[in-house]
Parts: sequence; C-alpha cells; structure tokens
Amino acid sequence: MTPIRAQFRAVICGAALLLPATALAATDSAALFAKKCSGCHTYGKGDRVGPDLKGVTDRRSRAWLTSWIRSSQKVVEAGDPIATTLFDKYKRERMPDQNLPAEDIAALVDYLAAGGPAAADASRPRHASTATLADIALGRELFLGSIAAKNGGASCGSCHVVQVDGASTGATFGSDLTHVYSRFQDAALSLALRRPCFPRAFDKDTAGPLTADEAFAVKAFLRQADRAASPQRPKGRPR
Amino acid sequence: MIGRRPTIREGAVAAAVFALATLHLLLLFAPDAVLRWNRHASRLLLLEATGFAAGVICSMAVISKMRRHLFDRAGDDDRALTDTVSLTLVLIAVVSGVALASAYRWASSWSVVTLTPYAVSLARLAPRVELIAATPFVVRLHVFCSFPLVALLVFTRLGSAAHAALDRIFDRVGAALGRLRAEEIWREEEN
Repeated sequence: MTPIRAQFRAVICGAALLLPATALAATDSAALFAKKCSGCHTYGKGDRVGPDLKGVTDRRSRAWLTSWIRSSQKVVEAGDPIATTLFDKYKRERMPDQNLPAEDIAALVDYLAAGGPAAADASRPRHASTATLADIALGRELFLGSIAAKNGGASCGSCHVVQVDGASTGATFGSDLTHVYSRFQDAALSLALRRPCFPRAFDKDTAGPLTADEAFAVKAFLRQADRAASPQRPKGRPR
Repeated sequence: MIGRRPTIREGAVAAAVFALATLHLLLLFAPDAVLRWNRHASRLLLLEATGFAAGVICSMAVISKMRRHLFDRAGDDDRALTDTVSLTLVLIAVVSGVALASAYRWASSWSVVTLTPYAVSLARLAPRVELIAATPFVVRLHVFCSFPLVALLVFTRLGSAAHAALDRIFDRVGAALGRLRAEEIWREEEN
C-alpha cells in the first residue's frame, strides 16, 4: 500500500470513528434525564429514592453537581459535608457513577437549570379534558367571535358551524366542526388551531394565529360539542 | 314624471339598492368594522336580515324591469342589447347573492375573509385565485357576474345617466372656475 493510500484510509477510518462520537455528544438531554435520572429522581414531584431535583442548580454549584454526577461515592469519600448529609438522609443508598462525557453532564445540568421536564410539560398543549367550565365558555365566545382573538382576524364561527345543545351555531360556509375533536384528537387539534386558518383575516398579514390559551379554550369547546352531539354517522350509504 | 312623488314600491326599491350598495362597499372598504359589528349575534342577525330583504326586493325589481324591458318596450334603440345583457347579469348577480346568503349563512362574516381579500388582490394586480377557487359555485357566480357588469355598465342607460350627470358637474365646475379667472383678469386690468 502506498503511503498516500494509507494516509487516505487513516483519514476515512478516523472520520468514521468520530461520527458516532459526535452523535453521542449531541444526545438529547431530556432523553438522557429520562434514561439516567428519572428512575430515582423526580422534578418537582417530591423525593423518591433520591432527592427531588427541582431547584438543584440553585442549591448546588455547577462544579459540585458535575463531580457528584460523575461519581457520588468519590465526593462522599472525600468528606464533603453536603454529600455526607445527603448520603445519610437517603438511607446510604449509593448513586451509581455515571460514565458520561463532560458535554453530556453539562447538557444535563443545563437542562435541570432550564426547568427540566417541567418546562417541557409547560410547553406541551394542555389536554382538553383538563378544561374548566370557564375555559369552555371562553372557547365558545372565541369560536363565535363574541370575544375577539388577541391577534385579530375572523372567528372560527365566521365560516364554520358547530352543533351545540341541538342547535347549530356559526356560519354554514365552511365544514361542520361538531366532530372535529374526534377526527383530529387532542394533540393534532392543538396544532391545527395554532396555525393560521384559511385565511382568518381580510389581509393575511394582519392576523396571527390563536394564542396558546385561546387555542386551548376553543379546543375545550369543540371537545364538549363533540361529546354532547350524537355520535358521528359514517359517511356513505346506510346499510 | 317630473315632480311626481315616488310610490312606496319605488321607495322600497331605492332603499334596497342603497342598502345593498352600502353593504358591499362596507365589505370591500371596512372589513374590520363589519367583523366588529358582527361580534354581537343580534347585530349580525340585523345585518344579515337587512341584506337578505334588500336582495329579495332588488331581485323582484330586476325581474319586473326585465319583463318590462323585454315585452313592453315601445321601440328599439342602440342600447337595447347592452341593456338586456346588463340586466341579465344584474339579475344573475342579485339572485345568486340571495341564494348564497340563504344557503351559506353569515355571508357578511365569511365574505370578509374570502371575497374581500380576493377583491383586494385584484386591485393590487396580484390575484389570489386560491381564495375564490375553493368557494361553492353560487359564490363564484356572484363574483364573476360583477366583472362583465362593470365593463358593460358604461354602455347602458344607467351608464349614460351617470355620464350625463358627470358632464353636468364638470360643466358647472368649469363655469365657476372660468368666472373666477375672468374676475381675476378684470381686477388686474382695473389696477
């Protein structure tokens, strides 16, 4: 093998080895938390085998947390008073050493500092079943346009109709949305409601989509309308 | 005819034409105001009922006018054909307007987000066809009747009347300006 060919092969092999390492370094910190921490720790839901990690980045320094995650026993054996107290408090249960790259530990600490799973839960649309009667009433007002959406534009009821309490409300120009909750299901309907409709405003540049709270209220109203109305009949010739 | 008081029927037709014209102008030039007005169910019902009643009255008036134009005409003139075509277009536009208002209720609300932006896009010479393409046939018929109607209007008796009225206005304005200029020249000569 010529020296040039050998060098070229070495470069290719090196690159092939680096790629998975790079991919591992870019591991999703939420997934890392779920895989490595959530078995023994909660975030804001109380102590389990180990302490609740909510606010841990405020209570401990970043350097301390990094050392602790890497090897809790080394920190305990070094005589660190906080580590010793924690070890005693949690029934001298040894936290496993985490053989993680420094980048992953840093990402994990960043994730906890940014709110951890609680932040992810907050950004996730609420399920319509958690809506109160006030939310449903607000959704009805927003749907019919009695209350204007924060970002302007026409209401859903300007084009669409919904059957409520046996009577149809809204315009009959667009499709009937009575069973839209069943058709879309909760998560997909949340996404659909946050997108600008066709086109929702006389000039498409002037009206934005519904806010998260407005979309939730409208979704809750549509869920109630879906539940209250008679079951959706399948399309086609009756048998 | 001059000095004759209009009958109740003529008054109703004039009021209906005025109401329909105002409603369409509002939809075109003040869509936000229409949406705000329609936020209250009672006001929405009032607007829709007014528009529908005006449409029905106009339809009957146009049918009557059409009948007279076709059967009771004393003699032909140059504008007979354009009048027939334009009356037909007006009839289609008015009847399709009544049909869409009854088939697809709250037209004053949904037209603001479909037909108004389409009209605006036409005025900007950048038609957004997607706004009208998905609408039902009767809606498209209502909109597309207005294009040849506007083009033909100038050749009808109504167009002639409008032209004569504009001529009179321009004549009066010209005469007033002429008098002002003459007075100015006269003052300059005196000084």
